[in-house]
Amino acid sequence: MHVQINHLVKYYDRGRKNLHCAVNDLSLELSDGMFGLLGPNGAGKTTLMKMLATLLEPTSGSVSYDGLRLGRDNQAIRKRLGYLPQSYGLYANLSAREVLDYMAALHGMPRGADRRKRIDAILEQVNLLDAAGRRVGGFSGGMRQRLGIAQALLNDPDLLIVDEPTAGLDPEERIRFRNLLGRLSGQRVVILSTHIVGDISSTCDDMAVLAEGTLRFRGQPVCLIDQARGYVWSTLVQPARVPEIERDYHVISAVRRSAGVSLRLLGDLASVRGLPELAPEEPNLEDAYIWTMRPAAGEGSSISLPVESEAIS
Amino acid sequence: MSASTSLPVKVRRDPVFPSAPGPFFEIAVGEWKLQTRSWGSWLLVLLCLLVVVSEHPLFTSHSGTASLAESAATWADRIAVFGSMMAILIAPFVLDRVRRAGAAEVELSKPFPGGAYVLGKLAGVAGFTLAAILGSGVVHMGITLFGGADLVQAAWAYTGQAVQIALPPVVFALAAGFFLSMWIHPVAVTAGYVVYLVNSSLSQSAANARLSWLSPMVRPDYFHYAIPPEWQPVVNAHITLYYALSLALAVLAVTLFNRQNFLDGRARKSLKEWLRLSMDVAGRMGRLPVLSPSLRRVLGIPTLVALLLAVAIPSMTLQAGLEFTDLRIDHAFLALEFYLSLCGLLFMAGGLGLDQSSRALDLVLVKPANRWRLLAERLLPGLGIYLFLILGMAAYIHFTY
Repeated sequence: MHVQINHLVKYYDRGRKNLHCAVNDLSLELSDGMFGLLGPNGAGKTTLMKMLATLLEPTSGSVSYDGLRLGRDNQAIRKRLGYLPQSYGLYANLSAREVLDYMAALHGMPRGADRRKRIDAILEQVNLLDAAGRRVGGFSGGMRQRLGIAQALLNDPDLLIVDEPTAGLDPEERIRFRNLLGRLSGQRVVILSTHIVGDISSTCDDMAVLAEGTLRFRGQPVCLIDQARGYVWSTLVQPARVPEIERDYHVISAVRRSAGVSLRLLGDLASVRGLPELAPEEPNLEDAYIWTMRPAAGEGSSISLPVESEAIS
Repeated sequence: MSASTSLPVKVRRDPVFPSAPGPFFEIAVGEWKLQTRSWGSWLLVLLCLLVVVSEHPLFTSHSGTASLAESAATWADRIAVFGSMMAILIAPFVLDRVRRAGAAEVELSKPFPGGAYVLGKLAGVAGFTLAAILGSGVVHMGITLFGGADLVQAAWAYTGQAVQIALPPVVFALAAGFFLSMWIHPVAVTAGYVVYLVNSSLSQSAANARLSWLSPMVRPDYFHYAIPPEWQPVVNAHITLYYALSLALAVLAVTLFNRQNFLDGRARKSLKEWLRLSMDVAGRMGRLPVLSPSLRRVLGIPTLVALLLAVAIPSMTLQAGLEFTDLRIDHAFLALEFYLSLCGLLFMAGGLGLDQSSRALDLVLVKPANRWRLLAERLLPGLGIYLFLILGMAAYIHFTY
């Protein structure tokens, strides 16, 4: 599937003539594969996901799915869509199989052996076949998420939208879930919206960073990392200096060691030059994301090139 | 998750997604299943069955005998009242439950036709309610047969009473409750409908008039369980009207259903905005009092509904139109018992249930506060308002009569 988003805008009316712009002139082009959408809370990710899932009307702009237009061909789009919302519930009184059966009915799948086979295959795919007869009310968080993705996969969608699916999952369950998404992304567009950087770095080969409704970055994760190269530093300071440094610099992490506190921070050479035992660090996606989101410059693509790391003593 | 398993071959697009009526039937079955899994629905069915069966003429007559006509009419009369109550306690919560369960976004991203969804939900809840009523009819008829009635005659009598008397108000309550819940909070719909039903059908003035066009009920009770032939055309017209109204409400529900309005409760938000506007206007006329957090905590839909019910109490007693002082006082105290107990329950729900419903209960309970004090803090403001209402209403009734 090919998804084309053109100048998408969404305003929320908060009453009393107070308009809030959640998505501002967003344009994106997506093809088969895993696409990560990263951004802080309130960046407009969920609004964008809801618009793509036909649940919210854009204020302006257009979205096309293989020629199907959002707004005009909503039912046709829904037939090719799988959606797992950020926060959702499923009927606690029904079993996993009954929930999927009901969702399949909403998809218009006729009752019969084919539907049962399809549900069993999906349950097996998400490793819930053994729990198929159990009521959803007794499921753990991970099981609920897996059931959530199962309902989104019922129609074998060409476009799968998952909104913050790993929030609240334990590390093992998160890895399982990411692997599942990775396997699913081969023959369809999978849009993974999250604020967890690790989810993107381990699954996506294409990504965007959204902040305050606008696009801050679009490209491969390695390109985002490249943007932060030369701006990530480590230093070792005495504990008493930590509050002062935290106030003046962008500290990403602070680890207490026997010799002092090891800080990892962001900034150009000119701003960090005075710090003791300064050493350049190889940026990771989290550093790059924080660097892109920094309030001062903010324009990830227009930052000035860093100085050569060899110049640092 | 199993890495070795793979999805089956892609489902074929067009043949897999037929248009209605397929989804309608499936959605109705799904809703039926959800109703059968709800202990609240079964509790209502049980209560309805208990009331209807316990008032069988065989049990209540002095002679221990009853005619077939009287038995069937008594069943229909009680179903008209308690079946309507059951319907109005279930139907308004059908769509609301989708939102409360958090399943609205998941469901609405599916490609079902809107009409099939609304009609399917309505048909599912109607099927459950009508099956319960049918069950009560079978049990009631069984008792009648035990008293010596003929099976075929009894079946005809009960079927006739069901179509003419028992079902119209139940069907109307289902359709009206379902339709109104698209715009108004279901608790308010239920409370409002109960007030409407009591005032239009169950009051003394309704009994005196025998039939009110404003009410969906025709009560055989008011005709001593035998509707006279001269009343039959009026009753038939009345029944036809309410069946037609129910159908119209169902059609309106289908026509006016909008996925996005349903998803974000926009229609209800409009109501809230209207209230906010009223508050703004009132605020311009004079500074609005700032309520304490304790009072604000109990303010919610249950409390507002309780206050509305409290307004209904004097209106009902004033409408009773009784000539004898004793009866008037009797009626007034019946109203107090009936409505104020409902008010009290709603206040309790508003005060105590708020932590739970706002998912803050765990946060509150882990704080090192005295639980009895917490309970008192939640309960006292509601009880204060409740006591004020009781005293106010009792004084009002006292001075009116």
